[in-house]
Amino acid sequence: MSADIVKDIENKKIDLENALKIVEDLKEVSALKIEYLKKYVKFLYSELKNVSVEEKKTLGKVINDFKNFAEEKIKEVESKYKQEKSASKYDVTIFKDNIKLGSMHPLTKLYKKIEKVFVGMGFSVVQGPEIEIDKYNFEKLNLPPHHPARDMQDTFYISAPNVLLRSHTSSVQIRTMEKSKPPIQIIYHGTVYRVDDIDPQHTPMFYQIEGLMVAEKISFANLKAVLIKFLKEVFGEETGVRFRPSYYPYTEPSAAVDMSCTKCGGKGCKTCRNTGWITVLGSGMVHPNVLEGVGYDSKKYTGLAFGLGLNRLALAYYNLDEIRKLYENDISLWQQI
Amino acid sequence: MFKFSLNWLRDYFEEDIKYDEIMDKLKLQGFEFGGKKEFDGDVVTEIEVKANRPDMLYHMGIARELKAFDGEKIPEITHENSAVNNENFPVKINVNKEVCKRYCALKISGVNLKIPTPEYIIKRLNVLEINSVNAVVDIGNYVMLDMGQPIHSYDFDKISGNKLTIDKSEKDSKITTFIGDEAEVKKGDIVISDDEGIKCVAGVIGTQGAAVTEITKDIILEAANFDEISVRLTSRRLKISTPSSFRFERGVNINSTLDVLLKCANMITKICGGKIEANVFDFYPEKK
Ligand SMILES: [Zn+2]
Repeated sequence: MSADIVKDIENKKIDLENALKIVEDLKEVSALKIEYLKKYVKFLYSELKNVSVEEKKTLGKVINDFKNFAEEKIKEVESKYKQEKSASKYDVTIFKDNIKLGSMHPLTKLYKKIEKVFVGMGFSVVQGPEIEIDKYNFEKLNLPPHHPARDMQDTFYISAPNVLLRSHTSSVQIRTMEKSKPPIQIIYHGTVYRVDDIDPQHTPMFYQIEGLMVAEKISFANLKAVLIKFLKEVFGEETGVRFRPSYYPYTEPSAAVDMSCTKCGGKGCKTCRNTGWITVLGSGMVHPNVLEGVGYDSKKYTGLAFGLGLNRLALAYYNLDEIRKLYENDISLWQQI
Repeated sequence: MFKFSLNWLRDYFEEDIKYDEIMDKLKLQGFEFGGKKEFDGDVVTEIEVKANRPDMLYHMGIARELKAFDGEKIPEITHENSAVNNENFPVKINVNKEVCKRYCALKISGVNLKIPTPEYIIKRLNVLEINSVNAVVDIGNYVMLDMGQPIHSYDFDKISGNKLTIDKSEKDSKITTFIGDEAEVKKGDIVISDDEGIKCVAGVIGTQGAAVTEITKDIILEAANFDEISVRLTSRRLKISTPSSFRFERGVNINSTLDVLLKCANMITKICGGKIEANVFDFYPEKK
C-alpha cells in the first residue's frame, strides 16, 4: 500500500517539474502551489492514517521530502517571475534633472498671504458674480445714473445699460449686506473689468481684494488699525503707512492709503516718483446712503470698507515695474521671485 | 483733470510762491498729479480732480485750497456793479428752471473785435493748450479757467426775434458748431434758441448762427448754471465734450454766476471798448 504511494509521489515530482517548465506567469505558479503543496500534501497526510505504525515513519519521511522538494522548486520559479515583474519597462528610480515642477502663480501666492492676515483678524471670505447688474455695481453704491464719478469706472456691457462686467468687487458688499444683518466682517476678491488700454500700468482686467466691516461703533480708528496691521504683516513691521483724503462715492470720509516705498524704503526713487510713498489702498467709512440702501439703520450702524488692486500690490511686493509682466508667464521671472 | 499754471496762481498771492511748497500742500490735501511741464518760464501741472471737487477745476479754486491750508481766504471777486432788471433786458429770455438753475446775461454795445487779444491772455491760454479765437471768446475762456464759470457770447444782431429760450429741444435738428462741425441735436437735448433756431447747445457748444466774429458790434454775454444731468446727457449723446460741459457736469458755483459775468464784462470793455448796458438779466428762482 505504501509502495503505491511512494511510486505516486515519484510521479508527482516529475509532473511538477514538467509543469513548472511551462508556466507563464505568477498566477499559474500559485495554481501549482495549491495543487501540489496544499491539496496533494493534504491527501498524503490523510493516507498516513491508513498505514501501520512502522510504515508511518518511512512514509512520513518521504512525504516530508516531497513537501520540501515541491516548495523549493516552486519557490525557484516563483522568485524568477517576481523579479521579472518588478523589472518592468519604466525605471521610476532614475533621476532626470530637466523636469520642471509647477507652483502657485505669484498673484495667487500673494493673495493667499493677504487672505491669511485678514482671516486671522476675524474676516470671513465671501464671493459674488463677475457679471453684474447696474443696481449692484453702481446704483446701490451711491452712484446714481449720470453721476460723473461713473467715468472713473467705465466698464464693458453684456447688454447695455443694465448688464455689465463688474468694475469693482464692491458689488459683493451690497449683495452680502442685503442677505445678512450686522455685524458683518468680510473680505471678497476677484476679477474686475475697466475700459482701459493695455500699458505698463493698466490692463482691462485685474484683481481686487476688498473688505467690509459693519457693526455698532465702528470708527475710522478701526479702519486705521485694520489696514496698518495688514500692511505691516504683509510688507514687514518697518513699513510706514499714511492716510490721505480721497473721494469715493460709496465712502465718506474717504482715504487713500500709502505705504513707504518698498524699493527705496522711503528715500525716494523712480518707482515712488521720488515721494517715498506708494498708494496701495482706497478706503473709507461706508456712506450712510449705502447702509440705508440695504436696509440698515445708518444711525445705529457704521462701517468701514477698503479695497486694493492685487496686481498693483504685487508690483510692490515682488519689485516689478510693469503690470503686464504678471500675465506674461515668463518662467525665468517666476523663478526669480 | 485740470492743467494749471504756476504763474497764473501767483496772481492770488502777494508773496512769491514756490512750486515745491504748493505741491506739498496740495498732496497733503489728498490731490494726485499727472505730468508736469516747464513751459515758457512757467510750470504747468496736471491735477487729478475727482468728481466731488469741481472747485479745483480753475485757478481761483486751487488758490482757495492753498490759502485755506494756512487758514486764509481769497479776495472776493471785484467788478463794477450793474442793476438787475429782467423786465427791461434788451432780449426777452425764457428759462425752463428744470434744465437751468440760474441764468445771467448782459449786453455790451459797441465792442471792437478787430482789436487783438492781449499777449498775456494768449500766452496763458497757450500754456494750457487752448487756441485763440477772438478777444471776446478768449476772454471768456480766460475767465472760465480763472474763476470756473463757463462764459458764452452771442452776436446781438444775429439773435432773431429779440428772444432767447433755454429749454429742451422739441425736435431733432442739424446744427453747425461754431468751429464748423456738423452735429445732430435730438429732441430733449438742452438748447438755447431764438425765433430762427438753435443758437447754442446749452453748456456744451455754441453754433455758427450767433457766433461773435470780427465784425460783431454788440454782444450778449451769458453766464449760466445748467442742470448737471441735462448737460451730461446732451454732451454724451452728441459725443461732444468741452471744457464748459466738463465743468457743468460736475457742478459750477451757483453763487458766483453774476459776479463772474460782470467781471468778464469789465475785462471785455477794458480790452475791446464798448459799454455795459444798464439792466442786467439774472434768473435765479431757487437761491442757495
Ligand atoms: Zn521709492
